[in-house]
Amino acid sequence: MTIGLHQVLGTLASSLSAESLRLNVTASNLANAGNVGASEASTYRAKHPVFSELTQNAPKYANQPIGGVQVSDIINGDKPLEWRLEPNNPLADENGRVYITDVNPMEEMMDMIAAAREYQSGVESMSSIKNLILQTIQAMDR
Amino acid sequence: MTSIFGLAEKALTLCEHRAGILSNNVANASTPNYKARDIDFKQALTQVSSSHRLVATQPGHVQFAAQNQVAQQPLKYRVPSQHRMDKNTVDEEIERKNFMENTVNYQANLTFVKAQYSQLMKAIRGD
Repeated sequence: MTIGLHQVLGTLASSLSAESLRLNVTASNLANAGNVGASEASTYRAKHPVFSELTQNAPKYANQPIGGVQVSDIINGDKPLEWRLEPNNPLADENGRVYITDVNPMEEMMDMIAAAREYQSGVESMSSIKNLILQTIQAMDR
Repeated sequence: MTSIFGLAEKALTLCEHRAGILSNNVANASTPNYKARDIDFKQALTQVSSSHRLVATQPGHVQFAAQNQVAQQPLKYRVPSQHRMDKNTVDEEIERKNFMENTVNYQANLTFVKAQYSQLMKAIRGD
């Protein structure tokens, strides 16, 4: 099965959608960057999207690259959280500790820049393919 | 039966196919463990243009034009210029350059096909 130009648009669109989801997750992490929680279980955890390649499901062409990327999962970090002593905080547990969320603002900012750059790259490629399709259609106008 | 547009038509189909591969690379630029792939255009074109008859070697093969041949070009891996922690081998600049090259190639072949077509129309109309 060949890849026609229209399908290429679909591939690039999947990239745009995945990068936009990545930006969304980054924004959510940044918004919760300073949060504290009452226990390890209830504190906000930094979320990370997991990207994977879209492959064909049909058994005859199984695992051939058919174009595109998908976010297959959004996982939470699982390192033990840091805590600080704040006995006056209403959220403090019986030891006076509050647990600090593990969002690293520097990492999130870099992630955001990378996602924005890839989004832009996808948009430019789409525009270029769109021009090719238009030219092909106009070539028949004779 | 060979096409009236000759080599340019086959090159056009190949360019389309390659555009799909390259844009898959661009889309997966941050997927962990993804390896950048491409086809050897020159080799593929030689192979597609030299065989005039499609041989159905398996029961599932359908006999239509150059499309099936194009689909069977071997996908090669691109040699990475630098190593990344997530084992991804896509280099944005290289992929962009190849993408542009392919686009220009497509446009060139389209121009040839257009020229052939308009000559044909002239002959039909008798100008």
